[in-house]
Amino acid sequence: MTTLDRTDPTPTPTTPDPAPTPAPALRQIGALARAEWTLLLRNKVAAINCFALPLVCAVFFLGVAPDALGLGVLVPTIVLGTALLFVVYYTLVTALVARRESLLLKRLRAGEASDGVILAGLSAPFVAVTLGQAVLAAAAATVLFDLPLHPRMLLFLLGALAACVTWVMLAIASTPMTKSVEHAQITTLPVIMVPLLLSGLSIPLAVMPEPLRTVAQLTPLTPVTELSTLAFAGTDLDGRALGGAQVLLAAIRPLLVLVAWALVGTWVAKRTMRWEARS
Amino acid sequence: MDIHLQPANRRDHASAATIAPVAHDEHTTTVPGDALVAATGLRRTYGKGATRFEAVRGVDLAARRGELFGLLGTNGAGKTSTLEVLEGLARPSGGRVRVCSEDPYTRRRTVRPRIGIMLQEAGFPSDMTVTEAGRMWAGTMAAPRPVAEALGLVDLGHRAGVAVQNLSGGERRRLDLALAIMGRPEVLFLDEPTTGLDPESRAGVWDLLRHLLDQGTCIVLTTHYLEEAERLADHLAIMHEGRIVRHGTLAEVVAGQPSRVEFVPPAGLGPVPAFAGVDVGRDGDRVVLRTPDLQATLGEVLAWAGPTTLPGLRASTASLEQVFLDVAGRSDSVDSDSANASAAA
Repeated sequence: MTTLDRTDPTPTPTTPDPAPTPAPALRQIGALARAEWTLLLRNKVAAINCFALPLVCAVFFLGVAPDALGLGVLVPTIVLGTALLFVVYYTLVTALVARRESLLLKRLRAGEASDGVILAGLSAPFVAVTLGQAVLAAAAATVLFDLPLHPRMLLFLLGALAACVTWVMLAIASTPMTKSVEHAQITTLPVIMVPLLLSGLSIPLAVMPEPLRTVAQLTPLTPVTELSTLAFAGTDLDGRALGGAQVLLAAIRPLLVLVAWALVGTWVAKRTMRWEARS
Repeated sequence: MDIHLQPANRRDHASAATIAPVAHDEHTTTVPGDALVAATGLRRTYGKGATRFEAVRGVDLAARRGELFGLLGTNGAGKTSTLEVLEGLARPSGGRVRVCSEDPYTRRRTVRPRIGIMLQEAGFPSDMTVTEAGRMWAGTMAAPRPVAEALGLVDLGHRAGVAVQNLSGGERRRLDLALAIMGRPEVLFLDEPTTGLDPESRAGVWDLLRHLLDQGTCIVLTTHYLEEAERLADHLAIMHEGRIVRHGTLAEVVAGQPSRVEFVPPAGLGPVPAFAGVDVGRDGDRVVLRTPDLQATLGEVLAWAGPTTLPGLRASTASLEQVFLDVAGRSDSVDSDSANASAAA
């Protein structure tokens, strides 16, 4: 074997090494994210899920989606919504389960990165893809449908950021009950289907009976629809135009719902998280 | 199996272990040169109620700079459970642990950059290359060696571009080691580091560990290879059923163990006489004499046999293997205090 580099500082009993300063969390997240990104590009199924699915879904939902919302609102909402479900949620669940089963999570936990940094690093590529697609869709909609630029459109970005955090936490919380990558197809189904049905993209929120609509507004995808509507149309779900301050007030509840779901996900994840292979 | 009382190629460094009592005082401050790894009254319990199982039942240990501490024991003796607590991967159910003078569990962020951990089993995404794995790992570290240097230290430089899934078991194990030493750790925890290695790779790893020890690294190692412990360890502890039942230097651990003289009794010599202080037993058709004084007993045996050939004559000093088998054979738990006291004596 190669001999050690003799320029290594040789610690002596009288002058111990000063403790190294821990690596900054952002650099650790970057290193993990870069590795995960490389793996994502190498895994065809995951790559298609990430890059093509939101577009395909956008085309599909444009066919069935309620006209009430208008295309300028619909395109970015559908792209963001499907990216949240299939990139941030589904693909991240499969990626985390795959990393757990291959004992990578166990290894990383024996390293210098904290638990939060490990999860943030592995989630970052999926969040980046989602935010990128959402911004592209918003830009495309603005240009194609000739929407006037308005500061309230930043609510869409804020909603996208909050929803990414929420759905990352839901994804992490869904990994303990998921035995394998294949098993994820079953375990993720309820968390995909229920919010999708109640998101306002399948059934217009405007035509839902009041009790159902109230329930729908408490699910984790509907706030994205509400925030998009506020951002791009400046109206509430019934199409009533809102003034500047009213828009901001109306944005509070959907944002709180996202925060609440993020907390639920964090609470479940903290109690049930598994770092070692189940098999 | 190497049965020398002293390891064949023992390093000579000043800190060659003596058993230092571990301070039980909660407020003891550690001074440079004192133990880098210290545990007192360490306990670890799994489960609750009827399924409650205590895997570690009060372990005291200490390892210093430049010293290798070998933790031996049968499967299920509690070695990995102990190591996980020392590494800060698990919280002890009782007792106190200090690594680099800090609590490795609650102070994980500051302790981890100073230690290296090689788990018994850890993985990588299979389609990642060796270099990618190293780069990812290095990216999380405070002060890593260059990836190529770490791979070179374990002779994996020529495999840098290979996917991890195409490495042999031994190569994967060496990659694990490369990552564990990448941060130039002050304390290195190795859980069965040479399992699955061919003899040449194992010798290479031993060389590397000796270099690290010479540079002052403190190593805590578990192994199933007693030869590995005999060659490398300054200080040994044998665990059984969650307790340390023997500890000390190799010489101390095997001291007090009887040496053996064995042979097949030849026809016509009559029964084996009783020699003073010697325990006579049988192992198949062989007579086995256990003696505290190998030379004297061997002399008496040869005098008794005279010109008659003793078939299969073998004389051996006490070996670690013998101590180990002795310990492993125990069915019941031993009072750890008295066992520790006698081992330390």
